[in-house]
Amino acid sequence: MRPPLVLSLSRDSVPCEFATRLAVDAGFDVVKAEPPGGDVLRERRGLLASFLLAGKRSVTYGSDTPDDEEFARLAARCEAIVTDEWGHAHAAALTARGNGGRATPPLIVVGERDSSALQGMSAQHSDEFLAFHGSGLGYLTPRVMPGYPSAGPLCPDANLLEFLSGLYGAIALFSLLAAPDGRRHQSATTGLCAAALPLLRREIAAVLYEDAAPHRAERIWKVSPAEVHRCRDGWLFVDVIEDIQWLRLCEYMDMPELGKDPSYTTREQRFAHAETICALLDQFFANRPQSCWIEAQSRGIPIAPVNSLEDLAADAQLGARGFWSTLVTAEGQTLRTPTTPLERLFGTPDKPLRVPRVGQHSAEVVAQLDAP
Amino acid sequence: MSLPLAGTRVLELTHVWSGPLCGQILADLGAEVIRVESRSHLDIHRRGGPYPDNIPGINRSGTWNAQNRGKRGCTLDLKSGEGKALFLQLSARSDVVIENFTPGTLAKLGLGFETLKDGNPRILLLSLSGYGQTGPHRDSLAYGPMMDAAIGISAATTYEDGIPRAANGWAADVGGALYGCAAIARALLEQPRSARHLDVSQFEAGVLFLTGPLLGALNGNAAPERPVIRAAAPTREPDRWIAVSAGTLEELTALFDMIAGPQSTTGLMRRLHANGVAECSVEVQTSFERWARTHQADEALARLQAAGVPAVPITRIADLLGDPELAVRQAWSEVEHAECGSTCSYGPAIRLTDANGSRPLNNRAAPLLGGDNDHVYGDILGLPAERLKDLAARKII
Repeated sequence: MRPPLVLSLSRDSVPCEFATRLAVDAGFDVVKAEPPGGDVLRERRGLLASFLLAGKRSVTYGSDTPDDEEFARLAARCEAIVTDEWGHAHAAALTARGNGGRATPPLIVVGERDSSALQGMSAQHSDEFLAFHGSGLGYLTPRVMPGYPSAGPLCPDANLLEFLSGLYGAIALFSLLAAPDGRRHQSATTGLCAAALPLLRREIAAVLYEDAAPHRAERIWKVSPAEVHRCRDGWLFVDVIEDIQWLRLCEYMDMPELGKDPSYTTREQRFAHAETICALLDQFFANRPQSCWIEAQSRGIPIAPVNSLEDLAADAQLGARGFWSTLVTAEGQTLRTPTTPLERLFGTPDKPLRVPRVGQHSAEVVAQLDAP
Repeated sequence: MSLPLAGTRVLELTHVWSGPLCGQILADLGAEVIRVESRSHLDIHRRGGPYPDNIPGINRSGTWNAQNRGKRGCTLDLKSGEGKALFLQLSARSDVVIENFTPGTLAKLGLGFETLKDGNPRILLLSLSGYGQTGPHRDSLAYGPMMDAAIGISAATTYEDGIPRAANGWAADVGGALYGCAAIARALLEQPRSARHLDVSQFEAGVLFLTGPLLGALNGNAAPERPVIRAAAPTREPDRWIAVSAGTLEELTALFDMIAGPQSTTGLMRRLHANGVAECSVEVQTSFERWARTHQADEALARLQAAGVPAVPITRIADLLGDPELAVRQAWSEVEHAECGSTCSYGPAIRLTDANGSRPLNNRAAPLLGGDNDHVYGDILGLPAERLKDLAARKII
């Protein structure tokens, strides 16, 4: 199968570039459109920009906006255009001009600022911090135990909503192309807040059905133990849900009498004693190594290490499954990089992926347009 | 115009959240998704609220009904020989099976990939487990909150004290669901299509959300990001916080002018560029908090945004439900449920529009337990009504 040709037309948009990076991983031919000076994403996003652009071809348009004829022809020849709010209008105009009356390729708009709060974000750049707080996720993060006050909303140093919106964009892209021609939709849009709403399903249901709006940092899921505990060389997270798991934990802690205590039998009872349980676990794990989670898991106790970035880099499970790969930056530097499931399921054999220089493939792509 | 995945049939052997979310996205895109449930082991969310009118019931959970909107549902005892045979007949008439059991469970039931493939050479099996089907930790238990710890999100959610905070148990579940959905949609593109076993690990899906920081840790921050000031602060109003993020010269100047005064801006900018964000963060945070506490939230946001500083409220959950922009985009789905009446939940995260500007939607409510048994076993498998009665009486379905 000839790989579908997809145009990535966005400006400093992590969601959009992540959607098209997933298209690269899925074996698509992705052309990244940039102004002559390159997408500002290259400058602003550090190494993440290399990850997002790896495996794509780069073409430049003639000026600050993509409105030249060659570019219109390219837009019209693509099987789909993945874009952001800025590129949406340009893409629609380009395809209308360049297609000579044929059906236009579907537009997938990724990372839309789709709530009133998110309208306060810049239209020039995607921004995880503001998206996280503006979508409602920040209101609940971190979640704290009763008696352990939060010092204020926190946004993790990660790209949760930007990547989620990008994932929805990739799903939309693949689905639209999987549909028969006559059923292809004109456009698909994925918003940042819409990507967050399924994550808030429990809290939204509480507002709708119980008129019980959760308070800031409030835990709706009432489970205990479900907290971090300091151990000798790091932290552990214990997350006991089922009654049988509580019995196993008590056996493991050499406290079988606690497992038999009728005031701790049910999940609700344990949550009512959350602070007592938390203190007991703090004491138990304080002098144990983090690696004890493996033995506890083998006994059927839900426990995980609190991994740092360095822990993840050395993680046995990730290593055994071929999670790591390399890419070559536009400057020729080799980087160690994670891989997505799509890359391992559908990826091309051309390893490692290379980050294109700005406009590196302009001539090649134009020649491709002229080919019969 | 019908939805893009119309004509695709998906069997969902899932529980809790990751698998159900994956199936729901496919249903929103038009696939016929059939949730196959056990009557003896009900999903944890069928047994938990919140409930409409505070009346409990296995068909009434607001959480379950939200995350299963758009699907059909049938019951089946997969531990019985007849149940397995019925499942294989269904699988032979389907395109996709989604499961999120512990690795090996499906094979132990006699329904592993090779068996499914024997009955349907085009079947796609998505296995969506905590740590994947292979590797030393494949059998480990993996619940959402503990996966936040394992994938690095908890360690990345800290105050200055460095103590990892419990995050919200979202990232690995939802990441796994979306990568699984993307893998299915991509595999459906293949023509001709062969059977495939799609192995997606929620652990890996979660770790990928930290790609940016990971790249720095793995490669020595060879290309640091441009400095961006980010801060959150409470306002004069109770429980109303605001957040700002400034990265360009214009945004930073406008922010510093506003919160610290123009006389302090030059010094702040010099220290920011000389020493980096970390060195200035306390000073900026202190100034921002002092400034924010003297304003109402809406007034503060209006002033910041008018000056060109990107700023948002830290949105409360109840505020989302009345949001006009979300309403315009039909972010909420209101469907008629047989037991609960009109029920509202989040709508499709992918908004499709056809050439005429119209939006086809899957408006099916979440299934009642066994609510589509007649359709699944009668219409799809062609079993006579008498046989269905017999199967139901013997609790096979």
